[in-house]
Amino acid sequence: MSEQQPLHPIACQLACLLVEEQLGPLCKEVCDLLLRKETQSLPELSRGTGCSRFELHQALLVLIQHNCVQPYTLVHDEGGSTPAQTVFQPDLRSILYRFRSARCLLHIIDTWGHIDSPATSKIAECIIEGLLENGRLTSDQLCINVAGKLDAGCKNQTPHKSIKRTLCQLISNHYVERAPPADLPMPRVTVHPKALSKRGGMSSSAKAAADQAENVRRLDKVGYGKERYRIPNDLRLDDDSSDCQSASKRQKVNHPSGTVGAELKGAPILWRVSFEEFNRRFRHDACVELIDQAKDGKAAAVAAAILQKTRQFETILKEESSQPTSAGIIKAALEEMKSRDTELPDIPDVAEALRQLEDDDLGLINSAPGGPDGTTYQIDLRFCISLTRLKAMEAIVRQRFGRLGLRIWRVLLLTGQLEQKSIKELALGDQKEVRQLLYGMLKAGFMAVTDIPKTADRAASRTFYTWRVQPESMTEKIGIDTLHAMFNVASRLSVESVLNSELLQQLELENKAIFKTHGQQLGRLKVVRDLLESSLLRLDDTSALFNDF
Amino acid sequence: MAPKTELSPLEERILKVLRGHPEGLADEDLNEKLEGTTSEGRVEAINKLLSIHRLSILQTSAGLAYKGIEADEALRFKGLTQDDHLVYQAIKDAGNKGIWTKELRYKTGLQQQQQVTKILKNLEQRSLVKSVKGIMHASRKLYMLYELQPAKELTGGAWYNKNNFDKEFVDVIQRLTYKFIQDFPESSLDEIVNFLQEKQVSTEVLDAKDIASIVRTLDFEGKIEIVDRDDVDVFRPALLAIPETNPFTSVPCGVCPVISECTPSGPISPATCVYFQKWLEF
Repeated sequence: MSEQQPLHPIACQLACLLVEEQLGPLCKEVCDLLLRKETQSLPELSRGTGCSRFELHQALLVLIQHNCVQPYTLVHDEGGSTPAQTVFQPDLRSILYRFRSARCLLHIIDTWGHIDSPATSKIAECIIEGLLENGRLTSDQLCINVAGKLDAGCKNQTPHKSIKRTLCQLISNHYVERAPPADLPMPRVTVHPKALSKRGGMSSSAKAAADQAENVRRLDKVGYGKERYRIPNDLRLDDDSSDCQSASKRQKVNHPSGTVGAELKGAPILWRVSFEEFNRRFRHDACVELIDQAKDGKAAAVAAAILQKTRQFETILKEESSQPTSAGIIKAALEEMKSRDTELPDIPDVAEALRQLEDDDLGLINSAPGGPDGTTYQIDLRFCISLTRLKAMEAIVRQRFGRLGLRIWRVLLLTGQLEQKSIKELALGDQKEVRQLLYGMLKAGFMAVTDIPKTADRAASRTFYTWRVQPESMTEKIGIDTLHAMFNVASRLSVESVLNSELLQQLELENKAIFKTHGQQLGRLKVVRDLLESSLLRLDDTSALFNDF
Repeated sequence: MAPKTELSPLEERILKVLRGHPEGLADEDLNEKLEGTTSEGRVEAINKLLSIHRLSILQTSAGLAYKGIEADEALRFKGLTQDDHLVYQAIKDAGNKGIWTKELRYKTGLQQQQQVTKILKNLEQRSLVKSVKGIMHASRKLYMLYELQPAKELTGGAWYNKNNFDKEFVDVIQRLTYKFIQDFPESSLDEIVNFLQEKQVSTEVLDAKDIASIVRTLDFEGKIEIVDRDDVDVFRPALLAIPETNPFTSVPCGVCPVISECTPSGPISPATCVYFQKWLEF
């Protein structure tokens, strides 16, 4: 869990829309207040929403169950004389991640067969599906849920042991994590240094107390970080697979004080989908796709092998680059992948393929000589993502402002800041058209203009105006605009449903006569819904690229 | 037409000598070539030739020099006032970049616009000067000597036709250049120039500088890449092409000019959006 980030209004609106649609208006009301106020105690929530205590409890339970809200323990007095208070914070990222559920499931369906036998692929899919549907579940609840899904219409019962075994594998692959406990200290709110200086300096005692509180907070977080992917004894004892055994050995090393098996205060362990891990895998996918486009399928397979092999060394989502790996290890990883996925291309000389990739002018893969196993290779993940974003930005500029617009944008990106006359000459466009495009892009937030007055009166006729492109701020702008577009598409979807609510009710009642009388209308509604829903999924991909990777 | 002025033998001789030196001849050199004449006679003849505009004085690096003017050309200057000559000289100094009336007034010291306009009209009627319009300031008339061709800065070069940007022509040259780079990856600028000159796609002569600007636009469009090979820039199709579509711009909001003003309860909203309406028409 990172430090608390400021919430953008459009992201909050989108989250509210999603919560209302999936969890009902009461949950939306509570969520809306939390998104506006960020942190609220139970009495504050009660006052803010005007709900009864029972309704509030119900809404909060649903929201916590679905990982939309996280409770924290707020300790007012470090000495311990004042009782601790539970406060609630919205988890905006988790709420918005509900749009990515289908992609997570697809990822498991596509990749699990390559990680383990295809037989367990269905179990893994059902586990992830169950967790996405129910938010957080204990292992026993999950077993019942998954068995129910798998055994529907089947005489044979799926043994819970094989479900638990797959769950263990999902945990050891970090796809599933423990839900954070309710007594974690609240994340620190990031305050700008200037705001801190405005408030005046803290006294030495206050500073010492704040430092101590921060240390406690950090220790608790580290504690959760260690527990997050630990497989508990009851799951481990049920399972004798080598995967779990090796995971168990690793965890024993992490817990030298003999705390293995000592669960968090005896509370039942709740499991949830690890969005961080899915984001990491999607980030890897984006890098592999870029290498596939820039080079070919073989290069992409090599990149995928490097990322699969070095995944365990990644500790943060936005890693700069993959861990340096030798050609031998990459070759072994490729052979392992090939044994599970026969569609992968044959690469007889991996070392040569790596050299070709490294010699590429783009610089997606770097090498360093002198490792214990010879030259090591690593993928520049940050550069890959920047390049993917850049290409997406260029596509957006071209579609929105045409070829000349793209030329102008790239002229400024490559040359820095220029005057309108120079832009016109370099981009080779009509003066009037160039001016219109420049102002259009300025309005869209794709460009910035600086005025350099020649005289103190700052008269426009005696002022230079220079134009420039700022990729960082444009990334942020497109990220927000994508969320805005998602909100609009989701709103439109609701509007279409409301407009055709009577028709849909009839359909739910299985009134077959409706097909005869309103067949065309139903057909149109289906096409519209399909288009809007698929657009939402694809917009979420763009949102992930600009907001999460 | 005014009657032709009779010239003395010495005056004819001076003009004959100067005809052999179109770049001008210094005073000392002229004296050498006019052997057997007195200095008074020479001065008188030169003054007369200057007064009837058959001679002009040039300022060269070596000092003052004389240049002969042909009779028909001299006829065009006949009857011009001193102010007319002043304006003509200022226009001549501006060369092929031209000069506009505001600057002309400043350079000649003539304050009244009407007077300058009258002089310019007179000079234009005599085909001594002409007015042109530049691409930068379409409404501004620039004056230059009648026989000069406007500079590229004024006309915009090969990519402008009658002061208008020739988009179609640029597109054609761009397409041909891109096709050539696709067919012959890692080709140099000279190779592209030769190809286009052989193709004879335009009556306009396209030099290496013109083609370089076209190649640059292809780079800015992300279609090609410039690679350094042994200190020579060569061009090849881009390794990483820009995607044709993007999910963001595939929905109306991605290209909407008023997305920032779109709110659920405002006058522009997803529920009432005309772009959505059009998009969802089936």
